Amino acid sequence: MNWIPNIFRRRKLYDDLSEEMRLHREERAEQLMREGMSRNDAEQAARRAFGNSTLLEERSREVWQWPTLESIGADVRFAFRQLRRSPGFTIAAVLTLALAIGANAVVFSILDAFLLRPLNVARPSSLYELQHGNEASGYQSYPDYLDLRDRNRTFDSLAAYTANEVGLEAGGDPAEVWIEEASGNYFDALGLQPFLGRFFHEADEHGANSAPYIVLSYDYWHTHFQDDRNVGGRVVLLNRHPFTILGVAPPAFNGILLFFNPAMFVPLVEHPLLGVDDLTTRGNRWVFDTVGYLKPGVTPAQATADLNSIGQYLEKTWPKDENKMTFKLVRPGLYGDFLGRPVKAFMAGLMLLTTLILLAACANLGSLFAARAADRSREVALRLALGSARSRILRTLFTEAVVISLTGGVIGLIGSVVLLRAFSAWRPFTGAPLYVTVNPDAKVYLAALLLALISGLLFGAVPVRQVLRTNPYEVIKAGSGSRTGKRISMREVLLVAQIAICAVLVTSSLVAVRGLGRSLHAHFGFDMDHTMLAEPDLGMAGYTGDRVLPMQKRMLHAMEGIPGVEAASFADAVPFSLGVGDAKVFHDDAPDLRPVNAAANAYTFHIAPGYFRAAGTTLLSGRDFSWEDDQNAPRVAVVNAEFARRLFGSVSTSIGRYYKLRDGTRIQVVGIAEDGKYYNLTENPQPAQFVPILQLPSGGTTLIVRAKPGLNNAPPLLAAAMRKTMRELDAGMPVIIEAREKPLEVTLFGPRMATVVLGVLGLMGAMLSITGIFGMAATSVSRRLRELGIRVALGAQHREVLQAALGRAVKLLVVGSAAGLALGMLAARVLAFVVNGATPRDPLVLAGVVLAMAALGLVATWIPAQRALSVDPLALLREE
Amino acid sequence: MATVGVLLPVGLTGLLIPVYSMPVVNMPMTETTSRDLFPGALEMMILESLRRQPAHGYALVQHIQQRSKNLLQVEEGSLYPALQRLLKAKLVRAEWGLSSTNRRVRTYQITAAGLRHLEQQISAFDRMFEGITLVLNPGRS
Repeated sequence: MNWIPNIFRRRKLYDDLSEEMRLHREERAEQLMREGMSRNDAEQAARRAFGNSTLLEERSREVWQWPTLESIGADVRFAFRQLRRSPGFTIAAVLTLALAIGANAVVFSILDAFLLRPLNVARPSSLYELQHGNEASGYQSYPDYLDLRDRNRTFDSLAAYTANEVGLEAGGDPAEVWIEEASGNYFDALGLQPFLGRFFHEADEHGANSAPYIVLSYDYWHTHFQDDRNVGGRVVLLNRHPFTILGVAPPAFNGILLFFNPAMFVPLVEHPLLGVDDLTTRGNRWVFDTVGYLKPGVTPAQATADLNSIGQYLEKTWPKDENKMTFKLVRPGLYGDFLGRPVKAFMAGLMLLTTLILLAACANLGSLFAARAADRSREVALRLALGSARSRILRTLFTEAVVISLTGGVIGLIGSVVLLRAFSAWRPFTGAPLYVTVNPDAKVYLAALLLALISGLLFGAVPVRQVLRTNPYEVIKAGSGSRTGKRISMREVLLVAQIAICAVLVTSSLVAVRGLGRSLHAHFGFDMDHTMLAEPDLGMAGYTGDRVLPMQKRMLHAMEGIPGVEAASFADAVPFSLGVGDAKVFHDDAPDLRPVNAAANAYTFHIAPGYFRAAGTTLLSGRDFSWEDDQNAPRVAVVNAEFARRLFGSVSTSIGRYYKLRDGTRIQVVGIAEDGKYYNLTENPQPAQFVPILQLPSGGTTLIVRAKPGLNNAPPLLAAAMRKTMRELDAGMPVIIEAREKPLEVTLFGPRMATVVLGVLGLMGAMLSITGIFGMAATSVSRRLRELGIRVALGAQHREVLQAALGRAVKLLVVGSAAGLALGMLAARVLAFVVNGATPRDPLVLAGVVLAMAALGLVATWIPAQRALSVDPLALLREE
Repeated sequence: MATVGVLLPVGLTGLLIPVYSMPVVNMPMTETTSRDLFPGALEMMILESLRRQPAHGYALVQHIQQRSKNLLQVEEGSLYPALQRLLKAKLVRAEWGLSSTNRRVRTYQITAAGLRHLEQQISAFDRMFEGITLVLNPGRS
């Protein structure tokens, strides 16, 4: 412990040491003078005899220090001083890195939240979702779920859940909320504890509608029940039925689906009260998802085999209702492969792109750094001459680089936290509680700082070769202007790399934009212009059974009566809305109606007369329905061309022919509608059938109202008129009124987000490239100013001057762009996952990239070009 | 930490450069030359000289060079790191005073611990020297 007093005495020690050494040299000098040397010679000789006093003093001081730590501290302070001296460089460098590292932090956080973070339940690693073997969905029917739950031997427990939208009355205005209906063992199986009150359990279920209980989600309890701790026992109405609140779910639990945030959890057995399906129809697959924990020691393969055997049993026992039933165990959270696969692909691609941005930023900084080091070659040479080791000088340079990169990293991290908070608070969909809370955690911070460190070391390494080769004597004699004429310098390689990366990003952005544009203008089969939708909740308002159709007719007439309305109709659901259903259809001569014999699985719409006119769907042949196509009339349908092709072979001969539904109903085709898209922007042509809602009534109602084009019928005005009309009909009935385009937002969300993100990244890449090219062009011009002056004096034209000044930079731009374009084509394959219709081999994309890079080059070299052209040879030569 | 700016006249170019704690490490010239016999040799000789008589840096250098009949060419300044090491290990003591010629000097004196250390080092050195001699000249005893 005797070093403690040493710290205080150290200053005195150092001073004593300096003085001592000085006195020593004086004494030697005096000795030599006494021997007859002149003062100057004596002093010089004394110094030489003493040795390298700076070095010796340093070594003497080191005795009292922790040399490594303190010299690193010295380096850091030195770095700060050097950086403060050139604020332009420092700010540019720090900002560049902050942007790049911030982008990486944001993407990594999102990646973490979506893919890496385990679900907020017990033992998430053994929780699996039961996905169908032949398609990426997990829908089951309730009886099938019961069989799976009771007959399996490989799962500890199987729970099921589904989502539903219901009308809630809790003392205030009625509101539409999204809830999650979960099986009785849901909470117990997931090993959760209630935050308040209690959960519902399997023991509470005694058959359909036997457990009218609610467990509130923590967020909903916080926002809509004001943290009321006495909420347990309160009775509220869901779809006009009383339910009792039991308790509150733990915070940070919003169900199994990552992005779905229900307001409350209700037992699955209550579904008949809240939805249109029952618990007994085996063929009706309305239960959204089933998840379960593997028994300890059981492998997924064993469980899959077990489930498949149950599936076979079910197929054999109920052949009419069951299709081929196979299973695949997948990770829950992103609904298995449905979202999981595209999300994984997109995030991987995004991570790659942001890493590329970081590399480009490092390349940018590397060349800046190299230029800086070249300018400091004199200082380096002096330090070498004074006795510094090259490794020490390199350490100083690296310290400077790491200081820049860590500062940039911290700033970028702060920026990313702000951005992520905004992202978590963002509610992109007004109709459904679909959002993800992304908050960076320790993993992200660590990763960001690590990235910063590595970047610092990377671009700090660029001038290494330069420093190692410095010959101090040459530099001091000749001045730092001497430059070895290299063919291709490191700076140029880095610039080409930067430009290539930028070109890749620009290509990706353009491909995504094109793909998005193409999918938006795909043939939808209906016209979205001047069209509004109204979705009333008839069930909520008490219109059930026989009261439904008269109310629907009243609403239709009221809509038609609004001035400016050209056509109106209604259907159970419209394409791209959430209620689109499908059904198996069979040939007229099918031997039996088992699902395996189905001719097609057709989208099914139950429509009222006048639908096609209101929706803007063209009828290719035949007729629309009329009010005479009711329960007493023969069963008819209008099918789309794809349906006709699949069932009857050709479109032209389909009118008048028959086909069968699963329940045996024989239906005659009376009209052919155009093909279109019904559920997914990226689907291949699908068959669709339109059946009269009078003959096959359905629960949901969506009104379609088409207005004549004109200012008087602008969407807000039309919406207001519709709302007023609906309120006049029934003030207590909740209605959602939105433009026809709105339901597509859910489908368009992915591609739109992708395009936005890629656009942003493309911009960042462009900025980096512009600074890179500008830097190179500017230094090239300033260094060769004299040469350019001579050329002009000798009669060079503008073109020749520009060629001399910027030729190299432009050549690098072209090489980089070509490389980047080629790479971008390959990269665009990844994009195709998310932005369908995005084909890289698009001449518009090629042209776009070329134009973009050319524009970039133009912007970057504008100022240096001006400088080169305005060179005045007389002024320059006079300065000699 | 002292922020001392040392003005260093650089002989060749005559520039004056403010240099803060010149980066210094391992210059080959001061590490492994013919001047250092082995690590600790210098310390040993300093201790021995101080044992005979307390002295300041310059006098020590003179003393060592004279006694070794100029066989050992010690770079004068290289004494000082060694002296600092001895100071830190409390093997010597230093204090300011006036020399016989009325110069301001810092005189070093060996301590009791220093004496003990010296004894150990000398006997270790003797053993080593004997060992080397035996290897080089097997005939001699």
